[in-house]
Amino acid sequence: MSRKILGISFFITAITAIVFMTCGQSSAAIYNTDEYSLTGKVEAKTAFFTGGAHGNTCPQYDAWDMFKQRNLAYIEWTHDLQRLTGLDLQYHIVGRGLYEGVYDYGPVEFRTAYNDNKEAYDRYDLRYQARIWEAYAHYRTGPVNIRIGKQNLSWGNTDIMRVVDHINPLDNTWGGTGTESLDDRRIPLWMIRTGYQASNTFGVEGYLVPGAIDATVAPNAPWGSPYAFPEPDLRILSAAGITIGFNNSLGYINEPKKDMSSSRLGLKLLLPGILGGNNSNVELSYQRTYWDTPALRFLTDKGVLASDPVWYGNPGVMSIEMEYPKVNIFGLSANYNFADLDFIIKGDIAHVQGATVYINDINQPTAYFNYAGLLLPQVTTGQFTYRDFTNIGISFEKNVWIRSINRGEKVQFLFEYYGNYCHSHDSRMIYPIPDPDSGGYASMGRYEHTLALSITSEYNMKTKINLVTLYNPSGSWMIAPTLTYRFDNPFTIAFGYSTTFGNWVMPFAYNQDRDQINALLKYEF
Amino acid sequence: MKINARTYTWIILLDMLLVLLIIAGSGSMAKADVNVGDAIDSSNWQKVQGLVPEPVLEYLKKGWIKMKIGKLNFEPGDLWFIQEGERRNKGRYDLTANGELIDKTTGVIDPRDFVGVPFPVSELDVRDPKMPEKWFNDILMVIISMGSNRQTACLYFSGDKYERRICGPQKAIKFISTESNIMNQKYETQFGKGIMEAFIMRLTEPYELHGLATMSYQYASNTPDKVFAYVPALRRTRVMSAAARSDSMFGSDYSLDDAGCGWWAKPRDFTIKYVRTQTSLVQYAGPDLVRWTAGKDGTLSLQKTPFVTGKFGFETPGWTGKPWAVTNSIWVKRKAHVFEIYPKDPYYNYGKMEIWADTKSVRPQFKTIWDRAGKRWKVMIFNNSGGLAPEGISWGIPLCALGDVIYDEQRNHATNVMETRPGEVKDWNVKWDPAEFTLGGMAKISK
Repeated sequence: MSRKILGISFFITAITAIVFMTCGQSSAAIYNTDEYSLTGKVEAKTAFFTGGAHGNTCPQYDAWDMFKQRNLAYIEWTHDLQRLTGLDLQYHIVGRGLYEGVYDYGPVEFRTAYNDNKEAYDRYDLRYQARIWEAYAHYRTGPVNIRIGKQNLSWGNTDIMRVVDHINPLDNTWGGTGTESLDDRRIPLWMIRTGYQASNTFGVEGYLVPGAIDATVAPNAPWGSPYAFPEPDLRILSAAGITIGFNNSLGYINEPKKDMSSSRLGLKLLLPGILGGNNSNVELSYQRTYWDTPALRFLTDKGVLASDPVWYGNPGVMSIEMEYPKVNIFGLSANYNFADLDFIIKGDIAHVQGATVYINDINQPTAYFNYAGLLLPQVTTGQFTYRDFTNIGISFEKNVWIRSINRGEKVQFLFEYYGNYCHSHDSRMIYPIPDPDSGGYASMGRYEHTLALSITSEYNMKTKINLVTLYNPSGSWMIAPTLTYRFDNPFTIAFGYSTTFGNWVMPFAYNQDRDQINALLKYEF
Repeated sequence: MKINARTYTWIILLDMLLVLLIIAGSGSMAKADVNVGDAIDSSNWQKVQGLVPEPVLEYLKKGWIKMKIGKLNFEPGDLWFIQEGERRNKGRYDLTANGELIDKTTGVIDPRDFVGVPFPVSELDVRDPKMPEKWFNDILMVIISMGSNRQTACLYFSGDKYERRICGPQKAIKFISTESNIMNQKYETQFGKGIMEAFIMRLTEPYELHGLATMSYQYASNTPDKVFAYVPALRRTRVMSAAARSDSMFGSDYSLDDAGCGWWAKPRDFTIKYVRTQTSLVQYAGPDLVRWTAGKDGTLSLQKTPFVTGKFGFETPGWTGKPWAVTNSIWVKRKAHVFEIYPKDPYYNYGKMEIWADTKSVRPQFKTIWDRAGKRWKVMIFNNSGGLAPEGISWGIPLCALGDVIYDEQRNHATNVMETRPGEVKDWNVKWDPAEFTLGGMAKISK
């Protein structure tokens, strides 16, 4: 019996067993005492594009094509060892299983893209996955905390987009902002994390991800995937004999080597009350970590000169190479509670050294050479380009009674502003994601702004309505409402819609080709 | 002396007027009376008219709740901190114009070295205009004086039928009102000057809320409380608005200020008026005291003690009333002071509140809440008990929340709270490591 069939059989059996074991019970853990607990959830999420692919984009899906049929199972075990050991020690293990059915029974476009690019998909286990997702031990002694193992860690204050919070890589094959939660997209890392709370006004926290153990970076969705950026159908180029090294078997994805030089680390000073009184918190942080967005460049096959006319006779030597840069991030996070106004303002500032940018003339330079009197263009090997950025996120949060909408609970308003400033800006900077219609690229300005508004209201702990709106003042909108309903105790159903429209500006404009509706069914125990 | 008819008439009328005045001034307008053993339901609700707040009487009329009249085999006022207050604090403390506690012997404002309730009950005179605020200071100190504790608590949600429950361990460290609590004051640098109490609640059930935790610091002075919430979806601890004390807690019908057996707020943030004293009927889980057993390091525990807690309508076969009603309690006659409370904070969610408080144990028996538009909103009915420390220690330790309910009339929805059930963790006088109640301690319980 193949591993695949065995794995799927085990998965189905485990899910069935869990459902039967908990059937009829209220949504309580299978085992849940003060000392240990076993909990989990099973969910199925299905999503459809509401519009067909347009322009020069791959794959060419139709309106109402299903692009996601994701089945997830989490099982979580926590055990406090204090009674057994006398120490303040506990451990926590999460197992995750995933099966994405769209590559087996979805639209032919996605099945074909998977089969044509299988190595890239299987590189990140996008179709089937069963792994230990988190596994750590936590020990506390007095004011010192130590947590060792595979875990997620989040710093900073902003909730919708990341400013200081760049510790764990984000899974770019999962779905983007507005359609998937940030926490579901975080990839746990093997790390040592420690904290020391000296007093009410001073504390220290730090982490180390040893590169020899874990050098995971943010995966990129392979071409043809519903989560990939809009791009031409690279299979056409392959058919013409042009080998494209982007996410295919040539593998020009330079992921960090698994050695200590790839380690991530961070240090944070906690300074609550430094602004006076009990109402404020300030944190200063430094991180050396990997940027989620890889740098990319075009390159010709190593050793072939750009002026070599052989290139035209043998065009199959052009490749796209990706590299994940290590960045330094200096962060400042602060929040202030206006108690008299029942209002909190919080924010992050991060100075990022060495983030990726793209300048066509540098990353994909075109040289011209004279061939029989003709001046012919030829892509030559480019260079990776980096710049320093200062990014800011400010968040305003207030819960308000609007009894005409909700008599029982307040309505939560969260407004966030995100700004990016590029040091040493170059007017040639672009986002290397082509508009599928025009083929043009959005330029990257010295200043970029995004406004985000989230409105949430909950009714009787059963129904929750949430609306997330993102706006780029250069003329791009993203709107994503979600309705969640909890019925029959452990079951939850949710419906969502996401639409992006306006000018082709980043960071979320590439979603314009991907308006969607989605439905989620979840069982928790 | 011969009395003519006109004079005789005037004497009769004056006598009748005098009798009416005596009845009106007696403080007890009860038109009916009850006896031990009586069963009260919708067929004979008139027997308790005037002995319970109006909404509770309505629930009885509608058949939502029933009552069995009983009697207690202990005096709820024989609580340790009430007795210590009588022994140590007579004439010692007062309130400033700003509502701060002041030690009259030392002049210190917001002293934190007092043991027992600061205002002895025997000295609280209803004619004293400061009496209501003093009373509520005592209520708050009784809640806080329960000592550093640990328990597993559950909230049960129901509308017309039982919906679900959320549960999780709670723990609190106190810094005032018992000698061992006062020892914790040396850790003030970790919590801030004037810390009275730090409290953490973590949810373990249901799965969707598993890992959610809140931590709050309450201060003696005008320093605003600090409230933190660990949100698993964000993987971080967030600062919450301290005004959130009147917001819904974990989506329940309770707010944080309701959760301390009806009153967990600073009296100086409210205008409190004394209304009257009267006889009332109060719900108790059982007639007997519950005995704690001594654990390690002076910790007292109920985990191995069998005791009676509230049984709810939804778990009582054949029950036809509301699912949130407690079906196995007894109702006993006690004396109550009735107070009206108005929040000073314009953002406080509640409008007027009315609390009936036991005249001996100071604790709330009923709480009625109106919204800011003046419409009646929620009603709390407490299910009390009394605890007794192990042999040799003459402490009376209160138990509350053995089935308390808060019913939201506007939404027809209720939350019952059960602080502990037999066999589950319930410890008092726990010698905590204060570091458990810091952001570092939150890091331990965060995912």
